[in-house]
Amino acid sequence: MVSKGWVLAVFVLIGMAIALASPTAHAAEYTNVAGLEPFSAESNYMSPAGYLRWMTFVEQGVWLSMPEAQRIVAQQMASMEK
Amino acid sequence: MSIIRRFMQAAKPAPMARLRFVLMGFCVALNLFVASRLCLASPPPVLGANLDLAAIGTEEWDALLDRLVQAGVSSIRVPLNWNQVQPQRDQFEWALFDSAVEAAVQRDLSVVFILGPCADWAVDPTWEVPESQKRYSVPQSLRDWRSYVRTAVERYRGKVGFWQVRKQPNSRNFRGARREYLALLQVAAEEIERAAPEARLIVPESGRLDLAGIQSILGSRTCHFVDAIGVYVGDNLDQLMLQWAVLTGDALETCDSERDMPIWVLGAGEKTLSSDMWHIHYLIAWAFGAECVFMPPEAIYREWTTAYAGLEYVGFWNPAPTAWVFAYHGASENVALGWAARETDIPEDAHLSIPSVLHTETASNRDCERIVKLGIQPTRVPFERVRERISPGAPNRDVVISARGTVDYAGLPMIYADFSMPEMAEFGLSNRALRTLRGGAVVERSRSGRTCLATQITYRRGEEDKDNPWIYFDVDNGWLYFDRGQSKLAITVECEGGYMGKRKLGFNILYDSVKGYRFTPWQWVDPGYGWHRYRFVIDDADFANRDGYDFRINAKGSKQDLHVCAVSVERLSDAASHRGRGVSH
Repeated sequence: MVSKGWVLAVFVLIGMAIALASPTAHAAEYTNVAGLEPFSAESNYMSPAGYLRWMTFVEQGVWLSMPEAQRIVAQQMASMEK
Repeated sequence: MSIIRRFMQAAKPAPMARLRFVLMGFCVALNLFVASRLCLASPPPVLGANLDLAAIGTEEWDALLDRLVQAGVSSIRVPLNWNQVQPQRDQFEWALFDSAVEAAVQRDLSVVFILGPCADWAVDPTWEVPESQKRYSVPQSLRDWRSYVRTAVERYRGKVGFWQVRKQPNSRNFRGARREYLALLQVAAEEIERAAPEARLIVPESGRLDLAGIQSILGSRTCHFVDAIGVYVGDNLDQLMLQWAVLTGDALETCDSERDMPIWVLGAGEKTLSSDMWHIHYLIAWAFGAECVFMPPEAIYREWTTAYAGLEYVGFWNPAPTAWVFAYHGASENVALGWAARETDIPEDAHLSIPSVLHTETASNRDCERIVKLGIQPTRVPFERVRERISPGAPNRDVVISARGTVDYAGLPMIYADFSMPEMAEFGLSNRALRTLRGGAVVERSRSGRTCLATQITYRRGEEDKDNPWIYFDVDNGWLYFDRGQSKLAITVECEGGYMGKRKLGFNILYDSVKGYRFTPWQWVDPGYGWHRYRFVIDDADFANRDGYDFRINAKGSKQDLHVCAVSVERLSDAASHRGRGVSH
């Protein structure tokens, strides 16, 4: 004879199987130049801001202004110090 | 009364009937299990339209909205242009946006406002930003930004439930640092929380589904503000399937494990896509559980958008490389749709008897009747014939990688590019396809009996656009893709010695890391003829084809061109990585 408990057990087992078997559901930015040595080969003998300007132009075809580049490098340095 | 209790009561009467009921119950339970494995069948994403009020005349506005509503659009995403709203610091003009919101509300459309771009007057004049570029910059004072956000949110409280902060932060034309964007985001979040706590904040990624960018947002304190991540999709469907699989499978770990992070598709960034392509993007986003998909109004036609009402996505089938079939359950019918990243003939002898599933019955073309063409246009296929092949849920990373139908590099310890080996110049490491990237137009040149890649560095002022000092590389996605620094790698570069003497020729490597692109230390190349090898060990690589490449050799800073004949990338065990840390020669 099939008991009520047996039916419940089937549901519980199926529920557990579902729980166990179900799969768990589960910004580009300017290149950081703050770590480069200024005025050396690795920064093409430029300041970090100058190097960022040059690299941005080659990559994107847009010149940053010098004050902008300096501001962005300052932000990068602040992030590194943090 | 619950279904279970009803079932239990019904199971009481006679023994035979009881047995029948038990069997029925088992079948019901089995179906429930199968249904749940068919994964959590998901309804279609909310369909939204991207609208730019500046580009649409007010006289066209009503007709356009009516058409979109008829096509099933239930949300619109509109730039709340700071320059239009606040042309001067002390002057606000809302009329255009008021009427737009009113028109949307009348049609039960939800509104997403995009905050930004930067007001021209808010940019510090000492930054010397060109007039045409000021909108891409950041405000000098966060007080100005706060005032704009606060006034807007208060004005549209109860009418606008979604706010996006800037369109594409840190995209190509964003003239600011990541920290500056995060500051804008924080201020916007504070003002929205204060003035309209029920509203949701959408944070966009930088473009082209930048997984590392998304993770950096979710891994920062900013994460607490974010109600949904906005992504931009491109036209590379091969790459996109993998990005979606990794995004939903690996990258969406949030700072708060108690909540899921919804994904919204916001558009295609700078790309213009066809309606068919958008249709496919909608299906992909649906398969991966996206909450909303926004697209341009010209891509939205009721012929396809209204066909999905009442359907639920249940699973997928990968019948051939780069080809996919998605399956949907509906109350009245089940549907299967196929598409491919490029035009694909599914051959007769493909596994799982594809021709019997998909063959076309055209009398005029009998020779081709057993060959199916899938392409960049969703094509309906008979559900009943593919039912057996459907795997539940969305494809995961492994499935997508194996679906490419290319060489499986996954288990190999090393991949390489050696241009002296014409039959196998690129073995899991490619450069040829990347020579169109800016600064990367290198040439193949014969040197000392070997074929090399040569940079083309220019030293003249004003010729920067002809400068090609970079050799780009892409690591095969099956070998390594977005593993967040878990693999220690050694990149070995074999190049020709310098002829100008000491400290005249050198290079470093710019690679995608867990903290964005970063440089290895500079390496001088020894002078004299012959070949030299240099090895760079990196333990924080996060290769995910961001900006279209994984790493590049950079020779800018050298006084002569660099000739590279071979590059390899190997995966190091812990012991090997300790032996080789830093640069070796």
